[in-house]
Amino acid sequence: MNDKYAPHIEELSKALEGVGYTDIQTELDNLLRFRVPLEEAKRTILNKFRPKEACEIKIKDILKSPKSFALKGRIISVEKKKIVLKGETAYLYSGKLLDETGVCLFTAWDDFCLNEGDIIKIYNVHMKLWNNRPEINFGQRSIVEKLPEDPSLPKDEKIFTQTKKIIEINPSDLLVSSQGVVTEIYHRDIIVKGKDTIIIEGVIADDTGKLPFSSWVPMEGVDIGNAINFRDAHVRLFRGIPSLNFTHMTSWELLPDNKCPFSKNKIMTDEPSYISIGSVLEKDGLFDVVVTGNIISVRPGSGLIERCPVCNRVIQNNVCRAHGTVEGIRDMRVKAILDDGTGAVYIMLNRELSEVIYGRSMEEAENIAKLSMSKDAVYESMKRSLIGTYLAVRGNSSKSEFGTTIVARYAWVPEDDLLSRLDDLLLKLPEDI
Amino acid sequence: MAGYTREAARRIFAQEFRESNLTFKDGNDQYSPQYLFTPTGAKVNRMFIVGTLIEKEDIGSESEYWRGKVSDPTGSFFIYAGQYQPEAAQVLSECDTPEFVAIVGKPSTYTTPEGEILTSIRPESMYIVDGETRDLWVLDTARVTLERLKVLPTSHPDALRAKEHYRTEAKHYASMVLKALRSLQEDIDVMDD
Repeated sequence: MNDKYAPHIEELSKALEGVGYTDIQTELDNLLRFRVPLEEAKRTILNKFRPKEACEIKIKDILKSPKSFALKGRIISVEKKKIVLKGETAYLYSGKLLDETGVCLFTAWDDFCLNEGDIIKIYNVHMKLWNNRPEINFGQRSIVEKLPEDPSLPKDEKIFTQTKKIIEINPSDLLVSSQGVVTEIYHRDIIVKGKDTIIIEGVIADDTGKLPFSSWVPMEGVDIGNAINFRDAHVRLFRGIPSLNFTHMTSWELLPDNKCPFSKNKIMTDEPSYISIGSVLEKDGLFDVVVTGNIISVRPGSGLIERCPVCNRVIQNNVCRAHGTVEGIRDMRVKAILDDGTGAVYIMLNRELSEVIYGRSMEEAENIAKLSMSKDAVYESMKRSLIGTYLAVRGNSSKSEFGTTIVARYAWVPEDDLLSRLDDLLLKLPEDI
Repeated sequence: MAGYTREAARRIFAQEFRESNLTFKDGNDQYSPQYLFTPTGAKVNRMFIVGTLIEKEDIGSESEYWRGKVSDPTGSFFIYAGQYQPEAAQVLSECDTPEFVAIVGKPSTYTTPEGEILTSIRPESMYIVDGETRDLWVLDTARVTLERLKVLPTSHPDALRAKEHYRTEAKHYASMVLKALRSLQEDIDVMDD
């Protein structure tokens, strides 16, 4: 090789500490023989030999993590899950990982021989949001290094449990402590792994909001109207809404009236809270809210529809995406956009609510369709009677990439006392006009 | 989740809409939304109005192009609907005047050769509604206008921008709201008699 390249090789070997001079020389020689310009060849070599040092992050910074990163932590739980992917059975491993700054869920798409309690350092992993909750994903390119016990890593995720008001509990919380009044409670028999099990479900509320809860452990002495104080409840997600899960890790006790930080009676008798659509949009999911606004658009897909008898999906021309040709079940619905000036949400009304709000039964709608020989006629007629109208909707909200949707449990035309509202507004006017 | 959020439909009285003349884009992307900025500091990309359609006229030469005039207690809005606003054009061609209508649309501006800026609405949808919906709209619009007037003396960026561009006098718009509410009061009294 020509001596005139010596200074470049010198320069490269300085930049690439630990890489042999001859290795660099051979590589450069090879590239140059293939007519690669010198500058480009040098860059290629730098890229090839530079150690791929992944940047190491802590769990608290997980949301700001680079595409690929390294992390050190302790596995506090791991579970093997069977999944069927394109007809083939595969296993994945999911669980929780903690470091000194926080806890995070993980999913490993390969068997990395992970065990509860292991201290590991993982390289080339990435973060993904699953149900708006950050998760560490171990993929094919990930490397797991097992480390000896490190006392600086906590053993119990409970030290990260935060105490929050109900409204503040969100999908990124894993364990949470709070207090509230049980406003609904019922028992349900289910069969888990062939065994009869009773689970408790209900709603818990404080002066800021309410959330559904379920318990796999008996809650003796707890009934509607009791205030409880609980620690370390799991936060699960269902359709984007956090729900509280009481397990053997959770502890709770009844809260005597004089220690309640809120008025029990007020919460028990409280009507659902009306909130602005703007504030619904700020949250990933809200349980049992009421919004009012104007219907400003009725979306395609409203009107008469047919559903698959097996999976309830909306179908077209009697063909279901999952079940092929089926005999469709007739149904009617309204998909609309409700806007109150602070924001806009999608609302979904089922048949019963659609019939009330649209003012026609499904049979009447079918007659409209028959007379005009078109299903679109119902959609057009819905637009004419719905757009512009005031509507109040009560239900759960959830956010997806397409926007925020409220699936209505109740919908009604708000009865407004025009005059009293008018007088209120007149009072708010400045006096000097 | 990041990405697309639907622009909220703002409620604006006709007088304030007519007195608006500032438009701007948020960002430099070709898909960045365009806003009309009003004297009380509302950023309007989409608006919702309910009023009385008092005039309509097909001003198109070859294809239909409808102009409508919709009045509220403070003045009137102009709306223009052609082949790209089929829903609204159809309603305009079929309905009678006067009629209560609800309109969702985008604000648009036109600069006359004399340099005057005229505002109008390009409707996305337009439907006939009842009188009660119209009354509720007046109340809602009065409420949100008052809310904006409350922010105006503060150093909120929209308030600063409004004061800088329009030298907005809160009193002027407070009396507009008063006018709207008084006329609504009279309407209701008439109905009750």
